[in-house]
Amino acid sequence: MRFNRIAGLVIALAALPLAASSADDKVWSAVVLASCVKKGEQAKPVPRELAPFAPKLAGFFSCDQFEILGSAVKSIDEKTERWLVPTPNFWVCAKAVREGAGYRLNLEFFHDKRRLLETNAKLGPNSPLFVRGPMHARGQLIMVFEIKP
Amino acid sequence: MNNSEIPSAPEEKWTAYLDGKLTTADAAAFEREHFDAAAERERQSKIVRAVRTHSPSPALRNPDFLNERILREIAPPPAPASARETPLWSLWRLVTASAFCLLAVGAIYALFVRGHEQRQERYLAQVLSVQPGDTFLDATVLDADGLAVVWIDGLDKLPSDYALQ
Repeated sequence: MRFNRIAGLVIALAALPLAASSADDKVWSAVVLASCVKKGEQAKPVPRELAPFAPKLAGFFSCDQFEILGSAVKSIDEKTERWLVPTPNFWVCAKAVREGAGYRLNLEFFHDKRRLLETNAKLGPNSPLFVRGPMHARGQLIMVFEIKP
Repeated sequence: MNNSEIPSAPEEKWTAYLDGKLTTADAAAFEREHFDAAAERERQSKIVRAVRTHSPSPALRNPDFLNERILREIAPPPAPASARETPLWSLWRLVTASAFCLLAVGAIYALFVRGHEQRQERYLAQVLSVQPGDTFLDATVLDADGLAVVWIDGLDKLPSDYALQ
């Protein structure tokens, strides 16, 4: 009997991190300004969140400097939608349902009360979706959405 | 028989006398009663000495074996094993413990090794559908060297005095 109790405890301890990993997942959104470094100036360091993707983004958007203007993060709740407001002008509405190793998401991107885009996507952890936003005098605005474990 | 006890029957008293088990006083009294007792004891002593001299005890070739046999015969029988007593690790427990160990190893591998690899290396972003917000906009899904990018066309350029933060 005591052996069975110990075995049950072992199973519970083994399953605890697995359950906690999905319960702790978060949605993260940011507004990024992509720009070209002016002559004579030094490029700002790449934000840690974008470091793995910066080389590809630089090639795609023809820029060499990335700056996070604002970001927001919230825990995932599959029953309700989540609103993220990385900056006062841009926000995202996200509805997430777990599917396999990632999530199936319905995302709506807004800019100053104007709905820019609605999309359905499947995202894995640390696999951001990039949305090209409007141009600004300082550079290209990019909205980023990501699942963070 | 105790030496202080005096045998009652004459035969027993004779035997005790010949074996030297009577006290000195009793032996003297017995010799006074039986004048040939001393001679008889002397004759018996000679016979015993002669037998011991000419018939020594046989030498044993393997005395340890006999001792072992004797000890085994006189040893108490082993106590029967209790029916409730079970071995510490029965086969069932061993199998169950092995299964739990495998489960724990698999969980650790999935959580820390495979999960870490997936988080660090595998990029999983698949855009299933896009719908522009209004009729003035257009949205296209592009592949930026493996990264998923949704390109929105039709947006006005923001003025330089537009506050970004």
